[in-house]
Amino acid sequence: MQKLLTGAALAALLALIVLFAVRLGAGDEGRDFRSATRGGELPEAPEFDLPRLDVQGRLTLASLRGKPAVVNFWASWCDPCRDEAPALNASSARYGNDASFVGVNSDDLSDDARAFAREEAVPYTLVKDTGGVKRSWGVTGFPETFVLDGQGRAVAHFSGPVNERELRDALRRAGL
Amino acid sequence: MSRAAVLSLVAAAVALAGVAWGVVGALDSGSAPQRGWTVAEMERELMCPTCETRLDMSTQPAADRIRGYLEERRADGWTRTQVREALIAEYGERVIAATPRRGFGLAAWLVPALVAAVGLVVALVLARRWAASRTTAPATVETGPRSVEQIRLEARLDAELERFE
Repeated sequence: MQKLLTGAALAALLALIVLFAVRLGAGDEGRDFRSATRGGELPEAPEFDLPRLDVQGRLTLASLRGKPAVVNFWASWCDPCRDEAPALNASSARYGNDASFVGVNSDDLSDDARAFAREEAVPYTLVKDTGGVKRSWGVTGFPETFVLDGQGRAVAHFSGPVNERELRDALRRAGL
Repeated sequence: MSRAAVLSLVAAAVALAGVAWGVVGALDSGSAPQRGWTVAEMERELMCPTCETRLDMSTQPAADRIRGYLEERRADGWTRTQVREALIAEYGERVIAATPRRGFGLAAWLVPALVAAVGLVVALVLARRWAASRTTAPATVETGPRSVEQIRLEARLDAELERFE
């Protein structure tokens, strides 16, 4: 009986150690994607399927393939997000026919986000993230913006407010 | 107290601690709907989504906004459960301070229960052994041949006792 108990206790301990080791060994997908983008490796952006904030329905990243895309992570309580809103709106008006613009609202209340979008007259597609996409893209603050080419590969990443010139240059690198 | 008895007590204490931990965890999870709640109470049960510290310890703008939301929902008469569900819909389960009961987080709930179960079994086994050893133990203890020193001490003890009689 004593041998059985000792065996069971050791097996449980071993299982726990394996569990923790697997957990620790698992890579951070978001951090890898972010650093690969910054390193110019053109990593494929992590897929998402998120509910729309501006209208009913959902949006997948895959549906944006075929032309460059600007993916902007933002929140309504973020002042720099408000600062960059005019640049994103103007770029969307200028390049919106040849590139997709998507605002991913994260860490936010939906009503606040919709109020922000009304106040800033955001003309492009908005989706709601509950944190998973932000994490998988390696976003650590707001605003952050990624520019993707037509194959869904990230060609540029901006931390902090982005301006029209930066967006134009990145979109050209993305094949605009 | 014998070694087996001490081990039994330790094992029982470990088992009780495991059970208590599990019970406290279940109570803290606030699974039952409760109408009466305060913003301060809820702040201790929630996480700031941006800095990933408890809401009551965060000064981030996102945390301030959730505090404002709690004030609004409390004024509207929402129950604790309604507020928690609404916040989970907005921020995901990571907004709840308790460890989620799935995936890796499940280990935090299962390990105490396993510790309690193993502790109980060990306590029972050791207690049974201890009880058995007591019933089979001889009534007198053979001490083997007495030493000269023992004989001398016994003689002295007898003499002392005689003096008191």
